Amino acid sequence: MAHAPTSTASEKYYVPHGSPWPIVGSMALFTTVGGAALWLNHVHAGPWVLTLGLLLLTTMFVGWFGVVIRESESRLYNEAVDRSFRMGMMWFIFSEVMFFAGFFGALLYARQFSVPWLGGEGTKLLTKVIRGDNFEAAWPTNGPGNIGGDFDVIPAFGLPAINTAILLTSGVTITIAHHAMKAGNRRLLNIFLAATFLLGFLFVYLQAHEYMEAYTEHNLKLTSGIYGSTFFPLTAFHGFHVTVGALMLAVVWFRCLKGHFTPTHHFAFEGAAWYWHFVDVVWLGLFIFVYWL
Amino acid sequence: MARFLILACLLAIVLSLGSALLHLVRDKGESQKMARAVTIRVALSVLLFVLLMVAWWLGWIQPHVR
Repeated sequence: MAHAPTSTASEKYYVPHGSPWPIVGSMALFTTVGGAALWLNHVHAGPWVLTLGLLLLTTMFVGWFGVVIRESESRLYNEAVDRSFRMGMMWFIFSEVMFFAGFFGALLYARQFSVPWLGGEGTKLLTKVIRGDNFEAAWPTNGPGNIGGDFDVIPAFGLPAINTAILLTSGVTITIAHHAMKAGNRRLLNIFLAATFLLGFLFVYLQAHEYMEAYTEHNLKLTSGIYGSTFFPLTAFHGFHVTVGALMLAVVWFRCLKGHFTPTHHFAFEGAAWYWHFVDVVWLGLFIFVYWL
Repeated sequence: MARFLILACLLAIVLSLGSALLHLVRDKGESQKMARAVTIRVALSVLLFVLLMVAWWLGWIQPHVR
């Protein structure tokens, strides 16, 4: 069998050897999930084990991503590795789309099907007759049982509209930063990238404020029937994604300050920027379907 | 009518975002196509927000109340 000609380093698909991060990641995930399981089973050490797991996970992310950044800056990655990063990003986004599709699907099913059926719509009139109550299907609702007690929805013109304006503004700033990156204008890039993740953190802060308002002033809780149990998971998971996106952009910003990236080689920037646009669009969907339509 | 416009705008935003993802995967950072696609996405998003406010102001739609 003929041997392939010896290739230079840049032609090889770079594979790191002896990296500790995969096993650290596995241990971190095991500790995190184990801690959560212990906590759910009322074992006293549960929260501590969970905290240890999360600390390990953070260490793994910082360490592993740090290695990848150093490898990238050392020009160890060739075009094939670049393609792998881009394909990885696409599959990651696919899983994210499916994740949110599940939550939006639950909201759609509850609003368009299950709640109207409980109100006797269509062929489900018998359901209403057997139930024998006067439940009138209308959204927002916590169902025939008034689960969680009376509640008010958060007015769309309060914090939700302000937060929408904040995220839209951050969409504009990241786009300006993107064009600045392409044009090689580092000063403009640094300013508008910083503005983007700061707006992101402001959004998360205001969202936390909105939750406190919901619990204390509107009696709207996770336990407020079908409305509460769709509203909070949708908005909270979105808030978590904004936090992750803002952290990603903050890391990219520090890299920009250190002089990383060129107008033609900046996948980390483009990946994080696209992710930011994604969370922005998910919020628009949330704002429309949860607060308006 | 307002609902149709809002949903059509949202669909256009999702399509422009999808187009940006395709360029992210295919273009390897060398072209302006992704930057152009996200610019359209942002412009449409601002338009949608304005559309929502105008539709409310004209009384076409109302936010959820309970």
